[in-house]
Amino acid sequence: MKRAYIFLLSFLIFSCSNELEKITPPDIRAAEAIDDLNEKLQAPSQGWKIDYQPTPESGIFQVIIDFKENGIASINSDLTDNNGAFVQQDIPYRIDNALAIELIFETYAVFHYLFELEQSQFGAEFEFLFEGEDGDDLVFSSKSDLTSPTLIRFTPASSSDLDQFSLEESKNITSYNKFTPLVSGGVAPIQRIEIPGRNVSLFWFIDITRRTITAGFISTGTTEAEVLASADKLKLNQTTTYKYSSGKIVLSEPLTFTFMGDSYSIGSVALDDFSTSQIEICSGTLSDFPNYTGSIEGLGSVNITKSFLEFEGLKMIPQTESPYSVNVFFAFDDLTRSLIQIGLLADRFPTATGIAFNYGFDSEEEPANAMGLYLEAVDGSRLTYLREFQLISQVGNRLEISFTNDFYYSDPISGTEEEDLTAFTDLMFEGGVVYIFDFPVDDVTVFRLFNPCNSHEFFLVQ
Amino acid sequence: MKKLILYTFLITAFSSCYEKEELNVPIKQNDTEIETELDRYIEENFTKKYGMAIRYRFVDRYVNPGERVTPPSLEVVRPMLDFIENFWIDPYLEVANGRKFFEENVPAEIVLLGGVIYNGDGTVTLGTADAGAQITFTNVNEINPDDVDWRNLQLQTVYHEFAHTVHQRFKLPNAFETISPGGYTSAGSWFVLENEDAVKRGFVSPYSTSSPNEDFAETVAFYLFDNEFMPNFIEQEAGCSDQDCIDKNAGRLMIEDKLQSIAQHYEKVTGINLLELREAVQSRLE
Repeated sequence: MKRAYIFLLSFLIFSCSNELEKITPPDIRAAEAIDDLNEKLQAPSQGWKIDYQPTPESGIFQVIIDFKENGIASINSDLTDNNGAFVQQDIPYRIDNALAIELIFETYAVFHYLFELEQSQFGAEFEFLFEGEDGDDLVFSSKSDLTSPTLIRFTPASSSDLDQFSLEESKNITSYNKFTPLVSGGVAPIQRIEIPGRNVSLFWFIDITRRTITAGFISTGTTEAEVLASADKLKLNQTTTYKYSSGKIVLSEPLTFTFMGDSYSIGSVALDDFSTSQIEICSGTLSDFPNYTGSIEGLGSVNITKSFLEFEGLKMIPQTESPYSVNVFFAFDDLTRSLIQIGLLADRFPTATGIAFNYGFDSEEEPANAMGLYLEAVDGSRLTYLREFQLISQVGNRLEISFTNDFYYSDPISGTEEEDLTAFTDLMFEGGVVYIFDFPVDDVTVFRLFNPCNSHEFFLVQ
Repeated sequence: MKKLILYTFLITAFSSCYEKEELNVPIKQNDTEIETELDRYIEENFTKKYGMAIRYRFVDRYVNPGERVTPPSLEVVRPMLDFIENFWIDPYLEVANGRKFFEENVPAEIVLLGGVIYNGDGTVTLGTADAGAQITFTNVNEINPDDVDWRNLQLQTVYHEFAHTVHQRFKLPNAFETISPGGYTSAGSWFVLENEDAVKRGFVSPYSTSSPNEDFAETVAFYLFDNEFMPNFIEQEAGCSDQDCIDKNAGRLMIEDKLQSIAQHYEKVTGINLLELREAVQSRLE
């Protein structure tokens, strides 16, 4: 046994050779790794191309980064938000070492903008861990995205990559965002894809921030009037992500379905000519509405217009049994602030508890068609103040009304209630027209009524 | 015993194979080399002048794990530095004994962040400081000194955090915590109070009810930046008939006591006249 110990000790002493002594200290190894990555990043003459997809649920943002020797990253992206602030930026970058070698974009740029979306829950990142090389590519992973780290691949860019960015198309499509509900996640803009070759219109929601498309429904007819008159409609519920490339919207997964015996497979939409037409949204005010002409492979030419027509919104119909109503919190201004917290209701009806909307209500006391408020009286009982309206029309999910000067009060009023109620109802229906959208909630039917004239909106529970 | 000696030797044998390593080697270099005009400006006007480092390039140690925030854009850094100089540093330099106090107590680091800090629990942090060593400005990307809300957020943050240095170095004024002893809230519950509730309790804000130290810092901050401080927190509302109004007036008397106590303390331990400092600040806000 003693011999064994001596042998082991001798082995250890003599094996303590220069090999171990030559192991480089950690700080020097880290510095070498940092220099090595820096050299790699600065090597490609045209920089690096990144198809940046922050999460599997979001679309792709194209980015080209040229890392300079002076610690500046020259970043080009196809994100045209904020008046094009992220199209080209020079910002400092740093390679650091903590748990691993990290690439950090040190001041605000396109990655940070995406990171901040949805109260920083969108899933983007601006700190990346270096994972290694894969052929000519460099692979990074997200540092801050702990649950499902995104893998980001840097590919040496070519001189033509920048041409694929389609900045003009990206900017033009962003203009469809105008006149869109914003409260509680909002409603993605609706585009009507008119396909004359098949005499149909396809309606889809295009989430321009997330770069996703959700097909809503397809109908026969190439105008909204024809669509509304048509009995041939197919509800679709397919969602895919997209990117802009070479003047096209390119879908990650083609939309495929069959309608009226015809097969459809839409993998991309070529965007050709953009224009705007003047539409009267508010009485006497003309607003620009976007329009694109283009084509879809296999379907021919298309026309893409902004639409408010939503399939589920068609389901709001007159209710004879009871009024539509909602908690008073759910009336909002154009900045998504509840009017009971700041604004007209807070100032004039602080004791309001609910919004009332009689739509075809069969009542001996209250008007059949009226909008107003429920309020809490001093003794705790409920008061009802209503202003009558005349229904001009409901065409699809477009509701047009005209208020009268007839009012209903459950109890006598003593102050400026009539004037205040007039101001409230006029505000919510400024211009006379609202569009009805479905607001999906389990076990309850809820509609969102959006006024494109002043971007106010309120909700109603059936 | 033999085994113990052997193990000791084995450990020594293995570990002695490595070159001696320094344990104090920094793992990252946050002090970037002076490279740009902006960095040179910071070096000359903040680092050399006051010994204050300005951090505008993102390092994750500036926020706690789980907090999500972005750095500022390059374009807003210099305007923000001008804002800090104009509204925070210069008023101190302008008043008697202010320069000495400022230079002796200046925080080592000023951190600029682009947006607000989103916390893991869904709340938002608007401004932070770390034991007088670091003051963090948030929402710098939205810089607009003419926007009263934005300006007040920044001023409240910096005056509040800088006021902490006074009680950290010189303690609170005598018996400060006895002025409204029943008004302090239990841990983590200040945010359920409304502003008016705080006033009734003798505090300038709900947050000030969280501890005597925060009460001290909040009172100083509000006194300096709020041009409506006197009508809001000191002057008695005339013709009070309801309990609400009576309670608020009672609260205002306590706030007045606190302000006097704080002003005397400032004069005594720092030599700064708080009223003079308020006037220096207010003259810039007009």
